[in-house]
Amino acid sequence: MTTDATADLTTDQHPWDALVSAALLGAARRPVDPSTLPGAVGEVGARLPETDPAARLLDAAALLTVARRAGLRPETRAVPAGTAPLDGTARDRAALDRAPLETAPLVSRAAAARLDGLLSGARDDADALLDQWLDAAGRRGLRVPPDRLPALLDWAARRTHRTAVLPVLGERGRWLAAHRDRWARTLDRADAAAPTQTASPETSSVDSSSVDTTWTHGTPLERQRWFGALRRADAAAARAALLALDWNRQDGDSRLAFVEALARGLDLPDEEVLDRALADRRKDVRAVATHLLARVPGGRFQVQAAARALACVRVEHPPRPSLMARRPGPRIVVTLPDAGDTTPWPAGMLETPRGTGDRAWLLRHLVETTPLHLWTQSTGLSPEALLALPVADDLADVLHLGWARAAVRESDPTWARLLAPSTTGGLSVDLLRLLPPAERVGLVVTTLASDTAERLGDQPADPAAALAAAGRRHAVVGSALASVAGPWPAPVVDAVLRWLTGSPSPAHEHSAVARQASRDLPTDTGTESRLRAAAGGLPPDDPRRRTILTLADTLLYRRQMIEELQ
Amino acid sequence: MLAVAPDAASVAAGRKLSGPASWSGTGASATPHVLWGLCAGSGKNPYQTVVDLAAPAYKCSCPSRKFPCKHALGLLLLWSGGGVPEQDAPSDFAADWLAAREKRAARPATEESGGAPADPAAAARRAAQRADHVAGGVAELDLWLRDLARTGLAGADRAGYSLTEPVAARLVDAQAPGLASAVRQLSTVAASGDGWPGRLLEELALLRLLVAAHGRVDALPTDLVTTVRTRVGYPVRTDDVLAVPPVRDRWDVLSLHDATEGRLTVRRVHLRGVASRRSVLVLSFAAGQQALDASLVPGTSIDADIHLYPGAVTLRGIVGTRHGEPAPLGGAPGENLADVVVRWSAAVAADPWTTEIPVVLDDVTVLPSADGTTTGWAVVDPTGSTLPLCEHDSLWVLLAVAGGHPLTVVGDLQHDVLRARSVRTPEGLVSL
Repeated sequence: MTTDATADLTTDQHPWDALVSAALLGAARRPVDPSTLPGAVGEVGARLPETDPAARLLDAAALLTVARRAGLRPETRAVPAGTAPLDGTARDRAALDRAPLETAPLVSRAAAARLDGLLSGARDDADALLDQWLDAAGRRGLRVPPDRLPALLDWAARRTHRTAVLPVLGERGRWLAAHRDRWARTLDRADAAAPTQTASPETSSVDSSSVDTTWTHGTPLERQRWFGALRRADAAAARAALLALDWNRQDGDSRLAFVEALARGLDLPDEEVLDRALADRRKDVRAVATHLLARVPGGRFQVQAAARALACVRVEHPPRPSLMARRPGPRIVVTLPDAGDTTPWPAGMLETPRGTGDRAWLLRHLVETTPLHLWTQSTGLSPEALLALPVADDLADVLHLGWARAAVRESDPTWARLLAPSTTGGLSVDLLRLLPPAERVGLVVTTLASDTAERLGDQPADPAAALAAAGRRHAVVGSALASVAGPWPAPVVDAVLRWLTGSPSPAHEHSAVARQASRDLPTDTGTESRLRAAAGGLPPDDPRRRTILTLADTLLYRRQMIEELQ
Repeated sequence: MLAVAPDAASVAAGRKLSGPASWSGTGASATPHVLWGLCAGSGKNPYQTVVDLAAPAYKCSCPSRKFPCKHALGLLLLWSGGGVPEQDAPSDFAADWLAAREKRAARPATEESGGAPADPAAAARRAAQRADHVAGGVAELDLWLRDLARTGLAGADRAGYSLTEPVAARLVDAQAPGLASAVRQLSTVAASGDGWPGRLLEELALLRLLVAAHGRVDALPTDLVTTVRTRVGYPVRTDDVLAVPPVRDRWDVLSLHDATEGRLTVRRVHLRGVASRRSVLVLSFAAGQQALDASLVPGTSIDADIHLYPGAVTLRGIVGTRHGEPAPLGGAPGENLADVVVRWSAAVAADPWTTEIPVVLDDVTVLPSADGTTTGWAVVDPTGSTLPLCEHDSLWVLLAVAGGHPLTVVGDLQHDVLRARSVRTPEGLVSL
């Protein structure tokens, strides 16, 4: 085996690369001659005293390393990786991209510091408090300091309700968001969901009479933004723009955004566009399209669903068995629909969750989509009478759930009032919110009072039944409280304070109500000191004492938070 | 006040503890200017928290490694909200801590009064012994480096710590901790992915240069000898540095960042002199539960004597006598991109082992990459020269603060990349 030739440091290969190759192979096989290094480095290399090939390699590398490091030369043209070919110098490019000057004033230093704390996620109630912070800052026309914008935009990107961030971003926030897709999309969705007056400034620049170049030549994000603005400005023009579009050549995210934008100003002529989206390749696009089709007033879905639903549900008046017997009351008898035919939904669109029957699931959707007035019309019964009727075969839950969702869709307070007591969770809150405010306040007061009374009264003999009843009452209390927007009016405050100090409910239910109260109680000093006094009246080892004191601290926190934003 | 907090999470946690419900036995006294209180934690006994407002300094019996901890911050917030009653004298635990601190502060003075080492002959013997040990270690390192260069680096990327651990352990025994940690670092460089042979060769070559320099310290200028000895790992005594004539100036505190190196947390604070126009790094170290120096707060300035560590390049200093209380930033002038490049070249020429220098870059514009990631960013100066920015999440904050307008970036120039640490704007200093 022969030794390889001495590495030639003068060839067209970069001398450093030649040294690295030599080092990888080893100086024993690939010796180097430091004197052949280029320029002054070579002159110094020639004077090195070492004769050991290994030391000569390392010394040559040391010379070149130091020379390279010391010889730092800044680039004068922009070469950021991954960018499109650039025209002009970095300086020219930098000059083109500047954020507009701000008009809104900044929040105070203290408010900004509090925002940091809320964004850091150290408090588990941070999201609710942040909503209030943003709301207060937005209403006062203040903006967030620029260095907080990345964290705030990240927070907004993680959430579904993002409109609250829009007013506090300032020019800088919008400029910054345009540099990162995730943030740009977040703001587009927020703009689409926001009331028109706070929508992005582009709204005014949309000209529906001519086809904008943004629409024909823009990036997907720009086109989605343009379309959203057009829909807000002129629903019919937006519809026409979509109909003129080659649907199959749009990217998936754009198709989804276009369909989602139709939710605003939804009307009968939109069915044509939505029907097209119903055949989309993407499932989420199809899902949004069906959701909207079922909401087109007097549309195909509602007409077809109503025909099927009304045929399934009938009121039965049993004949009198004999002259002497009491006549049994009328009842509702349901014939479940044929699950093989999901009209008006395309086949496979209604995915039945596990544990639910296909036919019951279809019935619920048919009832939900049927306009409510058709029920009173076809049965001749008032909503009260209809809802009071027993339902055969344990189908009351399915039927009432369908009606409850229809009541929310139509914002019908009459049906909502009747259905709220038998529903739970978010749906029950949605129903209660359709009632006049004074009625909801009354409901909270009576619900809380009767809960305390029942807990203090005789408990059912069966402990399981007692537990179930208590759990149900707790859910009702929660829904009633959630239906009244904060800050709560005086009667609700009184009722909640009475409940917090007087109710013998278990600790987890007690702190659940305290959590709601910490968000929605008014923050005046009076309420806070009433809470502290109430806590002082409890025995020291009572766990409710600590909960109430923490609640008082949170009110203090919220009051300081709002004061900082004055 | 919240600028003393180590991070935003601590501020939030502190705020949570700033309500009266969290505290008992609180008090504040004017002389000495301290706050104290008991905060119920998860343990059986409440935590004892004391804040010395004059220093400032903090003490808490909690096990937190954050400094100051959330309890100290909560107590400060409670106090600033008027929630701490005035008392004539500190509580027992606060008084105990203050007394212990005074005792500690007094100790070096008494030692100093003791004068020179008790036995100069013994000290000289110890120094000679150490020099022998180090020389032995350096000789072995030289053999190891030559062997590696002779047989070739191929395969070093898969060798792991077995590549370096034996020789590193030997260097620890030889009392050359600087060389030992440089050798350990090689394993990380070898495993650093694409392009590792080039990076590894650079580090090996610079180690060989250090070995060669150590072999002929007698022929080198004094400053360079000091640099070589420091890099090898001879300890530098604080008293020796304090004996160096100081630079008195108004020093702007421009950035502070903590990094963990093994079990050690290193805090680097960048000071910039208003009159001297020079940047100095003040380092402090803490192992485990020890507290880091919290007396330098970014966004403030101090009128103080800075003693610079001797060496061919003087970048590191310690704060000696302070003249008066911290004040707002004094507007220390920065430098332009060309100056920074010249200064970097000079630093590498004087101390070839330089890895980074603190810089204050005026009038540069942030240039993000067009693909929405944090790779490929740069700053550009008015002449069109650019420096790449080190990839980091905080670049988004830099871009947000800059908004496309020119501004001053404070950071470290690491070879050919700028690691941004903070930004100076007309509104103030923003840490990244």
